[in-house]
Amino acid sequence: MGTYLLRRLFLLIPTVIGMTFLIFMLIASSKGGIGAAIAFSSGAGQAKGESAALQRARLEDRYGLDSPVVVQYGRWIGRVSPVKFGTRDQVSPAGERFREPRSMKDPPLWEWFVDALPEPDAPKELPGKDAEEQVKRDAYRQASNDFAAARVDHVRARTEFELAAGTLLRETGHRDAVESDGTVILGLAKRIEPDKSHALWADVEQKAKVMLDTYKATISNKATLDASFATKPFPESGWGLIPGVLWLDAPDLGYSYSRSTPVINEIAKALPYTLMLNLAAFPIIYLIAVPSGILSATHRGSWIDVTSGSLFVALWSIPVVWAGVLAIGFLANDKYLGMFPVSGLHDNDAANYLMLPSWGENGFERGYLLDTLWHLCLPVACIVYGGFAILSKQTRAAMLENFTMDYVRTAKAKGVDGGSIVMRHVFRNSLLPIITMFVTVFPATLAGSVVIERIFSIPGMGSMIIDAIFLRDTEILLSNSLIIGIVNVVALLLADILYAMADPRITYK
Amino acid sequence: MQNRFGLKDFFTMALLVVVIIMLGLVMLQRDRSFEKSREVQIATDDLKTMLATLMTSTEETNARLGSLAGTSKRQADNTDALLAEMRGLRSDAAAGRLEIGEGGGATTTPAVVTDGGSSSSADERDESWARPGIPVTWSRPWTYSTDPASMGGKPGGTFIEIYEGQMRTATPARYADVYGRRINDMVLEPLGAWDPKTLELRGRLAQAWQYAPDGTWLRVKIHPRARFSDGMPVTGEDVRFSLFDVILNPEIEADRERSVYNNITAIDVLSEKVVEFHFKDVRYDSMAQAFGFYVMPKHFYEKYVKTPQIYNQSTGLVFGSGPFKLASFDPERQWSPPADLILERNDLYWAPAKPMLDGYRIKSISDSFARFTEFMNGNADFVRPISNQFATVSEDPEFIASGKKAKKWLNMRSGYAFLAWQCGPRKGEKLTPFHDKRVRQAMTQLIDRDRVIRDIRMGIDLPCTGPFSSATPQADPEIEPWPFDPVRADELLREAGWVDRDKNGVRENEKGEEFRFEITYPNGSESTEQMVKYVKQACAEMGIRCELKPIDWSILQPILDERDFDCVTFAWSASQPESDPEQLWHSKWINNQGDNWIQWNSPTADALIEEGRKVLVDAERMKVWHKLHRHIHEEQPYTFMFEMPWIRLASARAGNVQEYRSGMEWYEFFIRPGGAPVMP
Repeated sequence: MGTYLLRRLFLLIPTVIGMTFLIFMLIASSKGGIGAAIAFSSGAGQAKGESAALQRARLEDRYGLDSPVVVQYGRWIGRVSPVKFGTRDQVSPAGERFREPRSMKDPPLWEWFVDALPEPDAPKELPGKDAEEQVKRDAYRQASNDFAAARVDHVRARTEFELAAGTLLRETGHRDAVESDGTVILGLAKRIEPDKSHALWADVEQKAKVMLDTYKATISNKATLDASFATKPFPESGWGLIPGVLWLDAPDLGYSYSRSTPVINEIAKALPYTLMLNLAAFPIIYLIAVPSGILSATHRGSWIDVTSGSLFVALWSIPVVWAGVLAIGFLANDKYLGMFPVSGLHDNDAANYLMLPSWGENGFERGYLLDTLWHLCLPVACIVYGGFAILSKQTRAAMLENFTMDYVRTAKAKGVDGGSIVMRHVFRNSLLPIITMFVTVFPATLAGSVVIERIFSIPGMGSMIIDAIFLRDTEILLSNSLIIGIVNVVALLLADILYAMADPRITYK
Repeated sequence: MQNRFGLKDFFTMALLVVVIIMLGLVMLQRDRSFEKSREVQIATDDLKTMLATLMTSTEETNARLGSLAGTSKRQADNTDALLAEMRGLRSDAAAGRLEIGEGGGATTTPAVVTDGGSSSSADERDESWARPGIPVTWSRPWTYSTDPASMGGKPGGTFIEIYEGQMRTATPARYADVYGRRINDMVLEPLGAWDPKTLELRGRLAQAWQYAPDGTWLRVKIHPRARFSDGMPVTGEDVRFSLFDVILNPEIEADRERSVYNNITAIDVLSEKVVEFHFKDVRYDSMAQAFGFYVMPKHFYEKYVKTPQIYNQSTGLVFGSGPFKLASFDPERQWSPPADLILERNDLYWAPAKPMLDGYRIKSISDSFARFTEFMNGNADFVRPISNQFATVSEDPEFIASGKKAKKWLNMRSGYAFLAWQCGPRKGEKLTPFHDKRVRQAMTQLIDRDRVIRDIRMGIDLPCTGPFSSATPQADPEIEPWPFDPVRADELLREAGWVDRDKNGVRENEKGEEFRFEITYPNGSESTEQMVKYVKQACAEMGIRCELKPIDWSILQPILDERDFDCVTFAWSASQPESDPEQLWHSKWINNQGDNWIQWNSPTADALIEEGRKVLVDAERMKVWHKLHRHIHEEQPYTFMFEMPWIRLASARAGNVQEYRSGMEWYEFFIRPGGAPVMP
């Protein structure tokens, strides 16, 4: 059993990697790739006011999108994995995370102008390792700001150079070496000897000079920042195993492009809503479906069996969208019944409510608890009604199967009364498939119910994921599929273990 | 197998009972402390209001004292002057030079200024801060356009509005949607804003300014009384800080904002209340840029800007000098979605337009039906309906009788929908039929746009003639929309060489290529779907084969960038009375994936745009824009389908909800007493 468990747990890793890889590649291969996704989710869909190339360059530089997709995926996995390689991150008391300064790409086509790339200046004078913390931090922040500013200048200069070089290449008959956004295809352009007698050359050369100057400024600033980072201005994050090589840390799910907050916070906010809905819904489903399944089995073919069966199937086939709209339209609309609230989980002033119901100045006050339950009624009803059919049929089938077993006949022959046979013998044995069904169904509900959450304005996981899909928010999508994937795999494993525990005939050797 | 209630079961039961009782007690305990904190909260609120009243009255007293002191000083000066004069007279008399006129007064007596109170305005109009020789524009102080008091408004009440999407962040410079902009509009103030009725640029925080005749600099004097909601004065340093340390800070992720303020090269802080902007190019919109960004208090934002990650991830760090403020701006307790956003009245608001409302609550409900039901149930005061909801209620006698209002009006922000024709080669390869102006004109005339408005847009939208909102002076009101004229369309198509040569029902050109094209449209909107289906039908009747290509919103931009479409449809909307036509219409944005993705190359338009952008006199510039409007109308690079007025529903208790050319002015609203929900 132990080795089996271990093997299954290790299998979890490639499964999760494969799954996230697939999703990552799907997003990357969509039109425009991850860059377009970011631009879209951060609201940059409108007219740009500057060249597309510059905007793209800026995004690529900030999110490292200029590396190959596989490298980007590797970077993501590295961040998410609890085992990390390289220099440890540092975390400020306010929760800011500082990574090793990002590396710099060589400027494009520098070979056209100089024999060797410029060397960075020596790092600026910095407070030493033993200096006061605040001094080191201020120095780090200054260096970081300088580096960012220089880097932005360099990205602009680089893009302007590329556009100029692209125009020159296009003019001199090298159309194939230029992208449609005006930048050059480096691999091709590098091998081309530029036409230095062309009228545009002076402009290209001038822009190249600016580019190389800003490049030198940027790498010099980077050198300072590197040195400052090495003084460890902030406490290090995680636990070091081999200094500078291997360390452990909590998985970092990154931060959402569209919501600008860490993904983990978003999930922590959304998950409780979804859990609350499902935890309210599941007991109701079980409390109604299981007894009716038992009744149907014991009264097989009777009117109870037929009515409950057809009613549940009828309910199961009502689309949730329709049911939700009907519920709001009739049960929540003041024109009709108006018994329930339309949306949300709390009243407007619920924050000022007491927890428990009470008699106040304005008569009866619901209180926070009752208010929440009242708001939950319609959405929970919408989750619940479709769930009866499968569970009650499953119960009924399992019960019927057990009724034909030898041990039931034996019990009957022994003179055990009917009630005991049903509840103690048959039902207990029929419980197994129901339990395992729960284990496999529950993780799926973590993804939330998109339709119900949207109709009733509940900010749960479903709303979050659907928003992320609409906005192409890769970070949220990847993190969610990672979490849901892991939970599912673990649930399957749990189901297997439960099987083995319940049925001694099953062993994993 | 006997199952008795044993000792073990007893203990389990007992434990369960204990846990339940404890839980109840914990809740009770929580309730008690909650009640206590509620009392404290109310007491603090009262104190805050008292303090605000006190501060305001102290300030008024101070101002009155100041003007009194000014008057007495002037009177003292006058007395001195009189004395000097008398001394002079005496010496003149002694010298025998005095001429006594008929009136008996000496002709040299200086005029004594004794205009008392009104002299303070002359005092405020001190122009020592200005550059000499250049005229100073003094702005009328910003106030209500429609005074709520004149509409019977009384202070109090909380206004509830439902947004249709979830706002993601409201932090200035970081917000990325219209909701975030709205919140910033209520909590922060820019130097200037557009007058809601006339759309002229007026000072808001700016009291006066000098604009260089050559358009290279702008000197602005901030209103001396302007202060943030914590009572600190608004200074020139705050103005500089907002643009250069926040919006243009490379570590703050504000790319969207950053690209807007691209013509300001420097802001010099000349004194506490005076700043001078310097501009890169001479452009008509330089002043709008300088007046456009929100002024953020340096003393509040400085520490967050120093920790850029915290700033970038913040969702509710909104703090300013506007008529409203957020209940909490402590980073640990800042507003974050999906909670309702609650704005409180800024009791220390410095300008006369102090809001009547105690508070403004913003909820978001993304489902249109739920949103509508919530409004109809009386749980919201203001909501944006979808077209058919609007069409239904605006004719419903019950709705009208209930006192609720359905509002529809054009303003500078209302957008227009269009079919954009690919005037250049698609994807750089093959020219589409639409490179020919006659074909584009024919396309416009074979679509019955009035019918689209009537049948698909529920009669809500209005005919459109060009890219400028007809609520703004930028549009030429004299241009008539192209008529629906299939006969003329047929003629034009024949002229352009598109004739059905092989009698198969589809037109061909001389080379025998069929006239076929694709309409690319973002999916998700039912009415767009209906509209493109209608266009397809109208084309089929004309012998044009039209295919529909629905796409996801998120890939629209890459498709535009690569010019990978024949025809695309969506809508634009502006946020200013004057939109810069360069991005969309100038041929210099054709190359390198610029925004002229229809690749419309018109030297006439280029010349007009370049000319217009340099004209600094508004009236003159409008003439140029009108010419451009007419030229675009003639050329039809877009078929302008319809203008979309704003449609809104307002509750019976919502007062002073005015329709302005600028959109809406939220600080003017009030709540009629006796309305349904009353907030504590």
